[in-house]
Amino acid sequence: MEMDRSGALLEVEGLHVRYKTKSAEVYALNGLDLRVERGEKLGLVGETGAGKTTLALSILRLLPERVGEITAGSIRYEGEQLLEQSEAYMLGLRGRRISMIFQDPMTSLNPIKTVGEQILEVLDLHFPGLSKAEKLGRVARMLETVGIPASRGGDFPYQFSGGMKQRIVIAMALIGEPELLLADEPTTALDVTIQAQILEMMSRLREEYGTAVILITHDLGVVAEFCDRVAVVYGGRIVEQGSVEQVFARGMNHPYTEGLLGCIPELDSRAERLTPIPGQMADPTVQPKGCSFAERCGRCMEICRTRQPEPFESEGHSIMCHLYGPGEV
Amino acid sequence: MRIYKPAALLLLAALLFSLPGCASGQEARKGADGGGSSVILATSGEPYRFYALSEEGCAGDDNLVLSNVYDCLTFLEADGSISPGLAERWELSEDGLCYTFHLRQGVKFHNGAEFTARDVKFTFDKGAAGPLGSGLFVNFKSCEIVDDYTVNIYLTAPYAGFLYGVASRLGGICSLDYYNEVGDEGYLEAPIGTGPYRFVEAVGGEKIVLEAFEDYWRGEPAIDTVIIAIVPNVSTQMIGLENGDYDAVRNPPIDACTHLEGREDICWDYADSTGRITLYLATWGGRVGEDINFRRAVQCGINKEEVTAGTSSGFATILDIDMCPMYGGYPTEGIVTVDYDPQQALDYLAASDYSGESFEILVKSGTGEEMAAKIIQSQLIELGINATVTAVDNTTYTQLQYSGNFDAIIREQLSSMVDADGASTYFNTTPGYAYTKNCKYPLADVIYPLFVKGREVQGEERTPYYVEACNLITQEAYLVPLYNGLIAVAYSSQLQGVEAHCLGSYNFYHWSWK
Amino acid sequence: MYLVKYTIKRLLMLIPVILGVTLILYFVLELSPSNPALQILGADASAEQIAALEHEMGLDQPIIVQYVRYILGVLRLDFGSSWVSGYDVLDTFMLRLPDTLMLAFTATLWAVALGIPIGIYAAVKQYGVFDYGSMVLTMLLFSMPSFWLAILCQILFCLVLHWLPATGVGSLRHFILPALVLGANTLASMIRMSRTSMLDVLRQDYIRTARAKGASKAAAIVHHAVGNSLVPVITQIGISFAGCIGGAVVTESIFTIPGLGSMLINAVKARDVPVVMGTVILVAIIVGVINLVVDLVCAKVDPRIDLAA
Repeated sequence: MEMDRSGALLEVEGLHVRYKTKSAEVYALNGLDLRVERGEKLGLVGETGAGKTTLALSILRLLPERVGEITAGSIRYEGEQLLEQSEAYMLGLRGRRISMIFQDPMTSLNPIKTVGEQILEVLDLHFPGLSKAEKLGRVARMLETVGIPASRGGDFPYQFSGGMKQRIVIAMALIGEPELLLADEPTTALDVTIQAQILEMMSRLREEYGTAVILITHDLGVVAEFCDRVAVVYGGRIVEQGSVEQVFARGMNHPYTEGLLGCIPELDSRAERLTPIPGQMADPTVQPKGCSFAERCGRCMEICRTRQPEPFESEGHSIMCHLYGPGEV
Repeated sequence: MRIYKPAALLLLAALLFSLPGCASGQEARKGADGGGSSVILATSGEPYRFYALSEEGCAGDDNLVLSNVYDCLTFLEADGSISPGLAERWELSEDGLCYTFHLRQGVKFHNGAEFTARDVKFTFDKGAAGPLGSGLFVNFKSCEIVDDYTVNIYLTAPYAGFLYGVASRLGGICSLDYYNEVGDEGYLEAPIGTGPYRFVEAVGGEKIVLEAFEDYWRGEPAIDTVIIAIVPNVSTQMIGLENGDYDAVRNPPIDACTHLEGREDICWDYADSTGRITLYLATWGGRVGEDINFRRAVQCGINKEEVTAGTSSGFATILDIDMCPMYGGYPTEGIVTVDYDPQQALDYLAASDYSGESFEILVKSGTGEEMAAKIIQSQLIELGINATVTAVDNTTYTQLQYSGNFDAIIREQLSSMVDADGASTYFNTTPGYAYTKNCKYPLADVIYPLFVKGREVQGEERTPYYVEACNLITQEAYLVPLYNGLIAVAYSSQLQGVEAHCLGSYNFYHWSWK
Repeated sequence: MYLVKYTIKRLLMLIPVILGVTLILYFVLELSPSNPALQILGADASAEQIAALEHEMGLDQPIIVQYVRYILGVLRLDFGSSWVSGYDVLDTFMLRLPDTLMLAFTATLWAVALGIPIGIYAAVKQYGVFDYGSMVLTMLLFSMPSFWLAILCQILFCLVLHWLPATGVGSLRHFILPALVLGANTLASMIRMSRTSMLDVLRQDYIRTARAKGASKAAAIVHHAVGNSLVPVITQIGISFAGCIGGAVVTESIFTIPGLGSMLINAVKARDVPVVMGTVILVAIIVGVINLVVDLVCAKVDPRIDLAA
């Protein structure tokens, strides 16, 4: 299979994802476009429920069966259309070319298998030709790399702290040497000091392996620290994408991003209260007609309610808002 | 994991089909191929004691084994008559106090020892001293050895039914020498008798195995091995019989037998048993039965035809007195009977003091009598008597019975004493007598002496006393005789010589395969 | 080494349990109205004979003295003899034990082998036809009275088809129908328990992790889900197996299997105190051992279980 190594690593175009529950249909993603280059560290930010995890699961086609459905759009990875591939293809992809790590390390590991066995499983699945000794060697080295003594490979998950468990999860994700790592809020469940350690380790590993990372988080500080580029998700769409400098510079921003940035408390500010974004996220059971941020936007215009904005791009920084772009009032 | 399910089914199918087809085994048991012939009898009551003379005595179910391992001086036939056994003939003295038995010669015990008068004396002396002695060797005084083959048995007072006791399970002759060797314990474990079958083994809860005794004085039995299988569940017994697992079933319920009509491979037989099913009313303890009008209402308010139809499909004989017609001394004429007359019953009830109190009929659960009780209950309710049925388990029943704790009780009196004297049990005024300690009938002092006189004489002379006693009981309506019990047997049609015996035991000696 | 100590500790813990149970049982039996000596000898016996037997049986002593004598006997492994049959209680028990164990084992074995896969599959295909079908099956199995099922099987397989023997314990084939009938209830429990446990496990995050590693759905189920779903199921197996030891009365009765269940029930009906006590004690020991084995196996399956707790 020839892979197109010239273009972007991952290209998501117009992705629509819907969840069908007994009571209603939830429109999780409404035409999401995203592009990730090789080796890039992309931060994916947004409130809870914006669709960040859904995007990650959709890339791997691991949406919950019967409930989650990709209704439209395309996902191209290294030039291949993932949505057209067979399940066998996806099995070869997951854990080997694209890995995902999840939010809560406490429950992500099988409690009745040793950590060594669980890391080994990745090798068994994707490197059947290797000898047992070789595999065990790799597992041991991986453990050391993430800062866990190789001798602890025979221990069970309950014998490790939260931070160490997350390291093991990362070890499992990277031992297949994937080109893309989807990290879904990997440090949210950990305390701040551990968080820093994990992020630092992830950085180092990324350097070593050259893996691209989509870091899903709601913490802008983490994005600033760790990522090259950032994409803001709101209402199932990317409303703003750009380099970290471009977005955080506060020169030109989507109103939602402005609101988010405004929420960050500054040490030297004299403000006594933070300014939250008014209102709540739009009801996801309703497909948005106009801009999904319209109700909450301080600078909402007539056109915002009726027509979807087109992304306006300038030097790699794109914003999806009627305030910017050719249709400007 | 998805392969487990079909694999399990495959295994099951393999088990079912690969093993050889289910031969019932009956062919093998006929012994056609030169091997010994055998028979399997299924019974629910388990025999435990294979020796009657120990301090603990033995129970009715034990008779099944005892009557085949031991012989008595006299035999009780299937129809309740007495025939010669180990005694060829006997005489009774004029005063009725001495039985002289002339013993058969050349009879051997299972261990080869000769049967002589010493064994008879041993058996009677020991038996009379045991717990069953007073009930079965009634009035026994002593046993005298006249010579090797003649004994005299002396009684304290004449007793007309004595020969039934001689024929009972207590009368199975045991070997004195063997007893001296092994004692009660040893005898219980490995019994020795003169009977047609030798005791081989008993596996508790499972089976008892008997083996033919080659030197039996009447000749070797046709069936080499008898296996008594303990099968507690009646439907299992019948299914086993139909399937060929069993060759005969002991005392199945009559309606189970009637379902067998038309089958070529299974026959059944029934006979009147020595037991009578009777409803006794309690006339003590402040109960409703103290009122004679109430008792008379019950007496004529019971439709016995309906009762026998419901319990034995009408096969049973209806009784008018508390005795079975086969009993020795049964009075055949002069008996006053009470017919079913619901109108008369209502009149009696009106004349009585009955005001709706509950009338509890005690009965053993799971028996034919329970069915009878229920039928009677519905009949009495129609008359306006608030009748209820209390069906309890064996042990509780015994307890309540002896303590007199019932308004009415239905008993099945399967009696080894196949004699009219059996009806005296509940009128016995001897102090301390277990059955009447708590159950006293007002006129027992008048009734009992009649029974006593009746048993002291013989033959025809007994009749007038029993007539008077029974008529008195009927007049007082102390009890309502219902019907004669039935013993049944269901068996493979390939067997011959099988017959139902009034006491529920079987003479395997007569059985053979066609 | 720790396992050995734990095992011994558990076995020792059985002692107070057994003492407590037997004490209550003894007093209850004594309180129920019956006179064993009278029962054995019959009413024809004289009062002296009955009194003599009572004395021999020790029934004229105060209850607590009788109880203590009994317990002391048990410690010497003397469980006395049946008041009804005279057979030694321990001998009878040992005689009946192999058949009972065989029945319990075969009944539990097929029910487990069939029930766990069905439950797992029903959970994996939740809301599907198989799931609803298995629920209906479970309900049917729980509702069927065992004596009805037993007689039905006897009629079908023995009388009509002539495939199997109806009664007795002669060979392995004799156990097929009884195991079928006795295992029906266990099958229902197994399906339900493994389905419930599996449904719970399938929602866990580590299943999702396994899929994200590239494991197929089937592989994730086999390698990750099944093991985690086993602990409650193993416990249920222990319960079902123990239930068959002393509780298979109906099956034993209809198929004429001389087992411990009928031994116990008949003894209770006859107020045969030595047999009741002896059977209860010995069955309690067996059940205690079964529970111990279940706990040890669970600890092996799930390393989080700390036996010391």
